[in-house]
Amino acid sequence: MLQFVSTRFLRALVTLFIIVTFAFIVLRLAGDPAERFFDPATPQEVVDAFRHEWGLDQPIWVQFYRYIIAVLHGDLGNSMRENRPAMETVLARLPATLWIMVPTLFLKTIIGVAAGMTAALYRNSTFDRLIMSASVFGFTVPAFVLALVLALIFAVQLRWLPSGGYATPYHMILPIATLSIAGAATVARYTRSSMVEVLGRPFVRTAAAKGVRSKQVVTRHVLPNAAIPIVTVFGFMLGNVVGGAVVVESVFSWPGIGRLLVSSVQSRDLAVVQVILLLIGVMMVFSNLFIDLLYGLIDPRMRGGKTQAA
Amino acid sequence: MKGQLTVKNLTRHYRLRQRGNLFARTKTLKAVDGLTFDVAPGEMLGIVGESGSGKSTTARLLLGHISATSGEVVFGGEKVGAVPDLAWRRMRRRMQMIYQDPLGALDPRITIGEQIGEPLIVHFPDITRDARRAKVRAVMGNVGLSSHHGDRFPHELSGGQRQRVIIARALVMEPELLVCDEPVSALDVSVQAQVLNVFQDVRARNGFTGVFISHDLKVVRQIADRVAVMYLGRIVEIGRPDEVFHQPLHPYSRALVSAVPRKGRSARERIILAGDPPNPVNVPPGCPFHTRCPQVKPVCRIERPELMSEGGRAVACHLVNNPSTARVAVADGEAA
Amino acid sequence: MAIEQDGLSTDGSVFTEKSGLRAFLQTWPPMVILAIVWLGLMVFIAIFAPLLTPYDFMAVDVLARLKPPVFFGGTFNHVLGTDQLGRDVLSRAIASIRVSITIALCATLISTIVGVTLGFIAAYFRGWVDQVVLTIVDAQLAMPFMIIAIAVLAFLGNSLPIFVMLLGLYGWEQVTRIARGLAISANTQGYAAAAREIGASPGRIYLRHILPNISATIVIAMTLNIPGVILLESSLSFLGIGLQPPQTSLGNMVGYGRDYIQSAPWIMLMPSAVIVVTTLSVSIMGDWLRDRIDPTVK
Repeated sequence: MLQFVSTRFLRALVTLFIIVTFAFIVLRLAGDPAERFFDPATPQEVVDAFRHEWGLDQPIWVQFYRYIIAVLHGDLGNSMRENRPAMETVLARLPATLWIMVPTLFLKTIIGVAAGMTAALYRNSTFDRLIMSASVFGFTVPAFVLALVLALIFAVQLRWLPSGGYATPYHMILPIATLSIAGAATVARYTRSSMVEVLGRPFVRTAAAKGVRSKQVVTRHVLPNAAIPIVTVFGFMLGNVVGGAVVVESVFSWPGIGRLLVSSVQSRDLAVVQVILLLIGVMMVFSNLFIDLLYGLIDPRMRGGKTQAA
Repeated sequence: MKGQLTVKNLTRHYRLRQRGNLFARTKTLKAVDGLTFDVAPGEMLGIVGESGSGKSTTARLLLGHISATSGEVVFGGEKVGAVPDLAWRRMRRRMQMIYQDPLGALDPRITIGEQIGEPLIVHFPDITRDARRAKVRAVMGNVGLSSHHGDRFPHELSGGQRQRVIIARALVMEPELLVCDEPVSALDVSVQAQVLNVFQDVRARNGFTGVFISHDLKVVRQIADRVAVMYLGRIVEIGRPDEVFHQPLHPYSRALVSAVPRKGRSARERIILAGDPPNPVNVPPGCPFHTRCPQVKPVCRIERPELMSEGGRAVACHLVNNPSTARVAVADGEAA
Repeated sequence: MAIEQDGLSTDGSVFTEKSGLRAFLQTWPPMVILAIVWLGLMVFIAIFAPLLTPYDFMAVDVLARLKPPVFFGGTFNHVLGTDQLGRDVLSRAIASIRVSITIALCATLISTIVGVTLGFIAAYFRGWVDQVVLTIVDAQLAMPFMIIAIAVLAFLGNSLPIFVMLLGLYGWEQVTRIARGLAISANTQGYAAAAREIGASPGRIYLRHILPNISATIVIAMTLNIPGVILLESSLSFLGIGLQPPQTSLGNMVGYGRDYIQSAPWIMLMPSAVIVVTTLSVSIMGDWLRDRIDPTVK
């Protein structure tokens, strides 16, 4: 178990390192900051002084080393627009994003798992077909279309809910609904297929043949085994929610990190973009680590055995 | 020397790691453990043994598919390496393999004719298309395939035909060495005979050196000039087929031979060995066969018998090689 | 020598014959036919777009701003109405379909090439090269691609080639995993080992033997990748950081139409519908292909 935890931890660190390196490469590819910062008429001495001050005249690996030190200190430069550390700008927006992300994750998991389980237990029933057709729409309808359609119906036509803003709990409903509907569809699909697979395995049929009550079969034998793929989907869905949040926050004028990201790209506030990239990276890596460890708890086979790529 | 295969002290060990502990314990599986033999040019050596005796590992070592832990394989004066570099690929022109599973060894998406001609494309890219086709047709004729089979795909052929395709593909380069790993075991008995006839035909015509691996003694007796009996990665007996099969000296060979049903011999004469061969991870000390040997002597448990040759025949058994020691050891054992 | 066989069908088959229509519908479900027809239409539009547009998709007509579609109070002059600048929505939709479909296909092609190449490299070298590739795959899986794409566009600026290359990285990790797995299993047994045995070079083994044999699976993975690319492209364009005006794409149209959601919802609904139906069709077709050809993918 110790070895399992430590290898997972190591993998998470390697992934983090790759993400940081990626950010550094993209930053450098974007061009020499000195050239971006000064207009061509600036005297060469000034440019050179700037370069020296920021270490741009150092070899690339020294720059990389300094970059990593800076990342570790959370020192990632200032936001151009707000003229304060980019980290502060981003952290100020974090609560708004969490307000829609956390309920979404709960909702779509509960709805998705419940719908998927019901569909699997009553396979080929009308309910099953309904869930499966709905789930296809769930991942072919883009978040922005769903968001706009929901806004059109509930805000523009029915006028039940506000179409955007960040004032009352009512404002949360449409963004959360948009993200949950798409997510729940995918969760339902995965839950159903992993349940169906487990239900067909010999030990489940044996349990049923021995006369174990069907409710017990499901809770004792099927669920623990079906939980593994479901947990995987959860990690995968987290990434989808993060991606979807960018779109949904923009549509509903929700002042979260996603909207900040879009507006920072448009105004080329690169420090902020970089902080968001790294922040999401850290978040994803640690939630994946958590899910990996959860695996180890659910499935004893995972602890010692070789790991597959995802 | 051309076509001469020399194997010196060839071993292949696999290290098995047992997970779970912080300090993983490693164990060694000795799949092939010190093989030494020669195959003269044009000779066909048969290797027999039950599953797990290291026959297939030997085949792969001979061709350089896997690297040897120690020892070497020399073919035609050149050492056979296990790194698939240019020299290794060139060497394929001279040595070829025939597989147990002909369907698996054929590309399902390429016609038979093209597959037989592929070695020519690989090794002689300058050869014209027509010359290649003519050569393929000739080889197909030699193994008893008609020319219309050339446009077929592997799944459209019968098992025997597929094995002929494999043989044809191996022969198209006119190799000096052919290693056959259970080439007819997957075939029906009637088809086996046909394919073996093809083998002997082609050998009479081209005269290649061969190593023929099989668990089937009858097949080996029919085709081999010399037979080696393997047990747990070692050769326990080697000699001419009539000698080995009619007067086996090693107790293990005797048990093997007695297992072949023969007319006029009662089933009771069969020597039934007790238990399975020991796990190759824990090869017992002394003679590896002593755990199952019906004539085991105390010395067999302590000292490993060497393969000693006498007049082209070699046996690794204390009882045969120095019966006196064995007897003395018995006396010692009884005294103790 | 006629032998009477009661109770058996005339041809001796133990399978019951299906009626022609039912057998046809079993292999070609109506949904699949609809999906294929729709995709055929999209490809047709993508190829012949300049010949099909009634107006230039960039032509501004201030006198005909925000005209509703026909049957909603509009005229046949602009069948699907006009947008805030008086541009014909139908013409813009046709031009957008061409751009979106072309980008999706190019990007998927790129990601397939990248994915297969990396998968084969990992399978050929194994060892630490394999580990490096797998680690990058893991890292890619850990980051939402949308975020990476936005960041890259922010730093590198936006141009059509960069945009297409970026979308071309979407889904490479899936293809890499599939190609690597299939190549490794082909290598350990059977035809690839046999090709190696006759002395074929690695290039020949991988391109002449392994690639044709795994192509069906790769094509399915490609098909299943397309909806994701379309969604990503349209989402980025919708946010205004994807394709830039005067270029137009379906996501772009929705993005600009959303300001008129109250007064002129048709500007945004029409391209939205096209996106949804297209991604739906591609995934229906992909699932169907997978079930028919190779049920082992994913």
